[in-house]
Amino acid sequence: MPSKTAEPSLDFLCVGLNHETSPLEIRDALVLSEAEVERAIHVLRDRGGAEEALILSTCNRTEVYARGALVPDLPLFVNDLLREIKGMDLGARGHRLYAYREPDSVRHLFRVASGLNSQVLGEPQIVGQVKDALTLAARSGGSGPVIERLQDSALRCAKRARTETGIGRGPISSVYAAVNLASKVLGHLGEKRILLVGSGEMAGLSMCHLMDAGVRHFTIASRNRERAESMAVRSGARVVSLEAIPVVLPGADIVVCATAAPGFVVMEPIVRAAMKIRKNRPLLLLDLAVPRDIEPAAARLPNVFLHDLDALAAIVAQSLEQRRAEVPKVEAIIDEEVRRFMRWYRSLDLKPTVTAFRSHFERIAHEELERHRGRFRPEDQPAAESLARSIVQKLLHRPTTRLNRAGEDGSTGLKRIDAVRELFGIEREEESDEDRDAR
Amino acid sequence: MQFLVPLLTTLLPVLYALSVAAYARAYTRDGGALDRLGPMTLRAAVLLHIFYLSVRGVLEGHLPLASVYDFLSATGLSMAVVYLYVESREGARTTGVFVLPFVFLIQIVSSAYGGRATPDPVPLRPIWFELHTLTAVLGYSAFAVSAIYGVLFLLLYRDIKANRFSFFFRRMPPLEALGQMNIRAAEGGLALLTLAIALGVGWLWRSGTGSLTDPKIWFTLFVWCVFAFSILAYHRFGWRGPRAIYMSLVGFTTLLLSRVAVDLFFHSFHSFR
Repeated sequence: MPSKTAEPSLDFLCVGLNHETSPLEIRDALVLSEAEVERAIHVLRDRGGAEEALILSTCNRTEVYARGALVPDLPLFVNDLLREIKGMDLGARGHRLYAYREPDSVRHLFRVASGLNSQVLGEPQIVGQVKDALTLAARSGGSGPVIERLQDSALRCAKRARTETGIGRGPISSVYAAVNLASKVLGHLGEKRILLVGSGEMAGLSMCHLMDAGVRHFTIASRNRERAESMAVRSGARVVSLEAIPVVLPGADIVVCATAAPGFVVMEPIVRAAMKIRKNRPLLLLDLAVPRDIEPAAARLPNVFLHDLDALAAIVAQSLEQRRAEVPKVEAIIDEEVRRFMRWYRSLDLKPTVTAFRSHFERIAHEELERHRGRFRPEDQPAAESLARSIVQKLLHRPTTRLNRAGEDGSTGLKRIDAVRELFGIEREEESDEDRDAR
Repeated sequence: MQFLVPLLTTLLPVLYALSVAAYARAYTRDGGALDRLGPMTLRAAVLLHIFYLSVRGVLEGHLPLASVYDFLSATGLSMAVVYLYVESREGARTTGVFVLPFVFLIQIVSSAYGGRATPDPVPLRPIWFELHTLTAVLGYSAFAVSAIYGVLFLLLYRDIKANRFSFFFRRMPPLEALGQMNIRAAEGGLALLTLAIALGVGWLWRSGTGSLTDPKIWFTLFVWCVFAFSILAYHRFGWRGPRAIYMSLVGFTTLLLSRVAVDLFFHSFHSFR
C-alpha cells in the first residue's frame, strides 16, 4: 500500500474513455458490471491509495474518478486495472485514456451529468446513471466528503440545466417524437385509446413510450398472435388480427402502424368509414413503417392527422437543433457550479482553514474590545487586549492541535475540516470577503 | 375621489401594455422567473380596472356603461377576466400574446376618447337594465375570446396537417385544448347572451319603452341562432375541427357586423350615442 503524506491529498482526477474517443467495440468490451465496479474501487483504494473513488460505466463511457491516488501515473494504473478486470489491453491497441485534473475533472463530470457529453445531446438517462454510480461508490466504500459533495453538485447542475435551459426539451427519437405529436394534437393521453398495428420492436417501443405518457388502453392488431400476446402482457392490451382493423379503428384515437408488410395495411376507405362512426373526432395516424402501412390519401380527410417517419424525423432534427442552441446556457451553469464546488474544494486545504479559524476568533475578540473600549480607562487598554488574546489562545489551543492532525486522518480529517468551516461560518466569511474585494 | 379617474384612465392601458409585453416574452422564450410576470401584471391590471369601474360607479351612481367607450372598457375587462379563467384552466400561457393585444387596444381607445371625470348625467336605470348590459358585455367578450382561440386552432390545424412544425406549433397548447377553449368560451357567451336577451325583453315589457321590432334585437337574435346552431352541431351532429370553428367564427363576424350596421344604418333605441 502506498505511503500516506501528512496532509490529505486533494488531487481529483478523471481517467476514462467515451464515445468520442473510442469505437463501440472497445466501449462494449469495457462496460463494467456492478461487481466489477466494486472490485475496481477496492483496487483503486488498496493498491492505488485513492482516498475516494467513483466509476461511471455505461455503454457510452467508462470513467474512473479518484481523489488522492498515490500512483505516479493514474491513466497507466487504470489501463492496467481494466486489463486485469476485463482482459483488454488498451495500450497494446495504441489506445490512450483521457485524463483530467481538477477543476477540469469536476467540469467533465458536470458536463456528463448535464447531458452535454452524451451521444444524444441532453438525453436524460445519464442523470440516473450518475446517481447509480454514486450509490455503488458509497456501497463499495469509495465515497467520502469530496465525492458526496460532488454528487450533490453534479445532480444540482444537471437539474438546473434541465429546468433553466431547453437542453432536455423536444423529442430526440422518432418514437418519442410520435408520442410528442400525439400530445400536441390530442392533449392528455391518459384516456385515449391506442391501436398498435404490428408487434415488432418498433411497435413495442411505441407502446413503452405511450405507457410512460400515461396511456392505459391498447389494442394490438398483428399477424403474429403469439408475439402480440407477449406484448399485451405488459399493457393488458386486447389482441386482434389484422383483418379486424376496420372493426377496432373507430374506437381508437391514435393508430401506430409498424408492420413489415410490403403494402398498405390501413386504406383510406377504412379510415373514412371509421371517421363517420366516430363522429369526426380527431384521429391521429402514425406510420412508423418502411414501406408505409397507411394509404397517404387518408391524410386528406378532415380531422385525420397522418404522419410518417419523414415527418417525425423533421421534428427530431428540429429538437436537436434547439438543444444545440442551448449548450452555451448550460455551459454557463456548469461554469458557475464548478466555481462554487472548487471554492469549497480548495477550502479543504488545511493551512488556510487553520488560519481562517484563528482569525475568526481573533476578529471576534478585537470587535468586542472595540465595542467596550469606552468602559476601560486608557491605561487599562493594553491589559484588556492582552487578556482577550490570552483567552482566545487558550480556547483555540486544543481545537487547533486537533485540526492540525486532521491531515493524518484522510477522509475523516477532511470531514473535520469541513465541519469546522461549516460550524464557524468560515466559508461564508471568505465569500463575503471575496465579494467585498470584487466590489 | 374624482382625481382618481384621469389617473386610472392613464394607468390602465400602461398596465395592459406591460402584460402584453410580458406575455410576448413568455411566448418567445422559455423558462425563468419572468414567466410569471405576465399573469402578475395582468391580474394587477384587472384589479385596477375593477377599482376604476367601481370608482366611476360610485361617482356616477350607476354601472359605468353609459357610452360606447364605457362599453369598450368593460368588454376589455371581461375579455381579460375570461382569458385569465381559461389560462388557469388550461395552463396555456403562450396564448396570452394573441388575446391581450385586443384588450390593450380596446382599453387605449376607451381611455383616449372616453375617460371623463364628469360624465354626462344619465337617467336612473333599473337593476334589470344594468344586469342586461353587464351580461351582454360579458357574453360578447366570451365570443371574442372564443373567436381568437378559433383562429389559433385553424392555424395550428393547418400546420399539423401540412407537417409544418414551426415555432408556432411548438409554442401552442394541444390542438384539442384550443378547440375546447373555443367551444367552452362560445358556450359561456351563448348562456350570457341568452340571459342578456331575457333581461332586456323583461325590462322592455315592464317599462313599456322601446320596441321589440328594434333592429338590434333582431340582429342579436340572429347571432344567438348562429351560435346556438354551432354548439348544437358540435354536440349533436359531431361537427368537429375546422367546420365547427368556422361556424363559431361566422357567429362572431355576424355579431361585429351587426353592431356596426345597427349604429351606421339603422335607428335603434338602445344604441350608444
